[in-house]
Amino acid sequence: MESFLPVLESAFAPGNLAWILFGVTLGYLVGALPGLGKGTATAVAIPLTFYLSPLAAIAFLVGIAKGSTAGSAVSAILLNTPGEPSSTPTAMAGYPLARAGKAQKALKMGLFASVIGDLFSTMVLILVAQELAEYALGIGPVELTGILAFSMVFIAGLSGRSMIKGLIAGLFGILVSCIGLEVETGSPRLTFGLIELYDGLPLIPVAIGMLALSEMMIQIGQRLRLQEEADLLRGSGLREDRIVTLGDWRRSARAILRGCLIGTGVGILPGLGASVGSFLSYGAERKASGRGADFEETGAIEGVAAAESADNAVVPASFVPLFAIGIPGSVIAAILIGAFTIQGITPGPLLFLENRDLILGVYMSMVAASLFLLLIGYFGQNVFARIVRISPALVMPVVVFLCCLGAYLQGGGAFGIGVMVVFGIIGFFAKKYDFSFVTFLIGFVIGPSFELSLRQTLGLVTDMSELLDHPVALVFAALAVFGVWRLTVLQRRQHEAMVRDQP
Amino acid sequence: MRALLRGFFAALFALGAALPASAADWPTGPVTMLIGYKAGGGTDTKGRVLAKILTRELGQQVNVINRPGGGQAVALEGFKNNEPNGDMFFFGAVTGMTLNPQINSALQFTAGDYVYAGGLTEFQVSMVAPGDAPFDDMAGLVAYAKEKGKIKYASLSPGAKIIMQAIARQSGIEVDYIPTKGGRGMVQLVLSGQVDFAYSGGIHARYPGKFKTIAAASTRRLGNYPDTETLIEAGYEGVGIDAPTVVAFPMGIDPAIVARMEAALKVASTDPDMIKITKAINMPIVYQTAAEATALTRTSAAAITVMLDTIGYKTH
Repeated sequence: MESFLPVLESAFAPGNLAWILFGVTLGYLVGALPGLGKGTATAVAIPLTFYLSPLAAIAFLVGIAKGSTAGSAVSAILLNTPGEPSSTPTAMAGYPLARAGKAQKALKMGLFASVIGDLFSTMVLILVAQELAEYALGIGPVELTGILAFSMVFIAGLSGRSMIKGLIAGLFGILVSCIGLEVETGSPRLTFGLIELYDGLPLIPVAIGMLALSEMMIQIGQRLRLQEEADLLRGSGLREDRIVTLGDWRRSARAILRGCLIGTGVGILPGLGASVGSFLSYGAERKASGRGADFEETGAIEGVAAAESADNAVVPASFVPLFAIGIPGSVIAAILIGAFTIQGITPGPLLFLENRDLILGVYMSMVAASLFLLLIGYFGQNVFARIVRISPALVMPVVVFLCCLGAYLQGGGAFGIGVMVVFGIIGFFAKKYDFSFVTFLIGFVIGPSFELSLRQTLGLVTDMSELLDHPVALVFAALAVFGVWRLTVLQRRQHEAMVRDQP
Repeated sequence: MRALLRGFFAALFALGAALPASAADWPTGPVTMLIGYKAGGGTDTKGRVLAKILTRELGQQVNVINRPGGGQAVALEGFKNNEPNGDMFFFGAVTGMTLNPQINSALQFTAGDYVYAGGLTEFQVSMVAPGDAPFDDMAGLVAYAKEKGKIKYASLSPGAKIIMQAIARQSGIEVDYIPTKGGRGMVQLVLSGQVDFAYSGGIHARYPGKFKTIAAASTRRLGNYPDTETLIEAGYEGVGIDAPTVVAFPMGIDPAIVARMEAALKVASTDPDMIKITKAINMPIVYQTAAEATALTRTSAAAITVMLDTIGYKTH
């Protein structure tokens, strides 16, 4: 216990708290801007952390992730333009409320639900991650291979509308991750004679290109529409439309609780992403309420609560697999790997042995970030609502500039910007044709671990019967095969139903 | 007329560039230390402490720039063609010059393309086994391997694999090579008991009691393990890859500049800050003069060539 006090001191040091506050504010602001989500916000902010201590850097980025996840509800409710896909259900249930003059009520409910989901999930992370990590130390290459194969199937199946497209995106990510020196003998692969490619493509420029730059390209095409929507906002003068009443709480309590559980569960499973969490939670609430399509016509406060609580619960929970086994559970977690690496820290089971104080400090900072989120969101909502009306023509150049800065610093100079532009274009078409860029990115991140653990397995297991000593691996391998079969059947059924329904 | 004038100025300019701003006064402006790894790593940490000491010793600001990629290859390839005026010097493990170009034919430089001003520290490259391994030296390992039929070896780099291949060839033991990425991956494989034997760049010192140091993987005994025999002493002729950290300039550098740097490195090797940082990362200070570093680099590169030949290595 005595070793805990210094951690507490460093986590709650004024400097560290200031960075968290700054992160939450910045995140909320960026999240509130239409079309800018947490991926963009976190990726763009990484260069800002170069000169921070590891704790401040990670706390700052986590603050941004939390802030932008909650902030994206602002543009979803006010403009019907979700800051990111996971806020789409929020827009569906919340925008009708805004049109009925209840914008402030919906915003507040969204914020409260976000904070509750976030806090709940943070607690689960604190309680579960280390337990898992202690167990994970015993997880060798054989088990890891099984788990990674299972994760890939899961990701492919659930993060897009079509599993085939998901698999294509994921495998493309793995292919791209093969670029660089091969790990055992050091022979160059797919490097086309460029020494810059020997260490593989740099993660941050690839992520910034895929997430932020491609999004900017799409937004530029929709600029006029965004501008019109930004002018539409109005509010009513009634007090009961501005606050969250006891009745609203009663209607939303169940939705929030369910959202916390769904969001946390989705976050822990690697690769599902926040969208799955908020859509699942929203769908469940819509079904449970029995109101059906009425939800989207007149708006529903409990729909906002369901979507936002789950959306925010995903973020901290997605750090569970990152801290415990080094596998990112979300885009944020994938980007955080980059941030950890800059600071010389490798996420994974050894994290709790070697950087125990840092992790405890990060936990404390995450709790602090939850509380800041409540403060910033509550008192800043009016201001943020105004920011939403800033012309996209002003926002976009700033974001593109920050993208270039991040890619330059993290990708070895101009080469990084080139990588970013190439992946911006790939990301643009991936988004246009509904190939999940999330699946791509996670494939890109876990590709090298999958290859390495598979090759280690081939060296370690010399006889097939030795596989029986690795029951965990066998279970996950079986789950992966089952997953492919199950998803194929489900999608075929959906497809047949769609064909049948067409006149 | 214009062509003539242009030619005249070009000649004048070339003359000016060719004349060193009197090498005896070096450095007359800020100097850059080139590091082939990312900021924040072990080499970078040492490098930044060294830069601070050199700033004091040379009387000019020494700035660090990081040009990571390809195990220092990105930094070294560009640096080879730098103007040899002392504005920039390289700091890093000599394996970037001695080993990497020999296993990758795409690299356009060799160890002979640089002038070495001296060495400062040395990676504690070792052959290691789990703390509870039933052997304590190479002879014991070979006996154990022959009894078991085959041993599992964690190979964290191409160099680590080459060394083990040479050992296997000379002793006739059978080895399964388990590839792993970096020291951290090797530690995990050894601690979880998945491999019998491994190569360590020195990271094993951070886990006291969990590792046995079986042999030094360099051609000379290591500073931190003076009682541990080298592979050569254990009877493996020519097997070993030295990994001192050196300071290097491009070819054509004025000997006066090299001498000045050599003297500054000598001071740095006894600096309290340098002693503190090398203790923290378990890497002893092993000062080498310019002549010693040059000789070691030459013999080390030649030894690697022989080792690659004996195992029949094909460059990529």
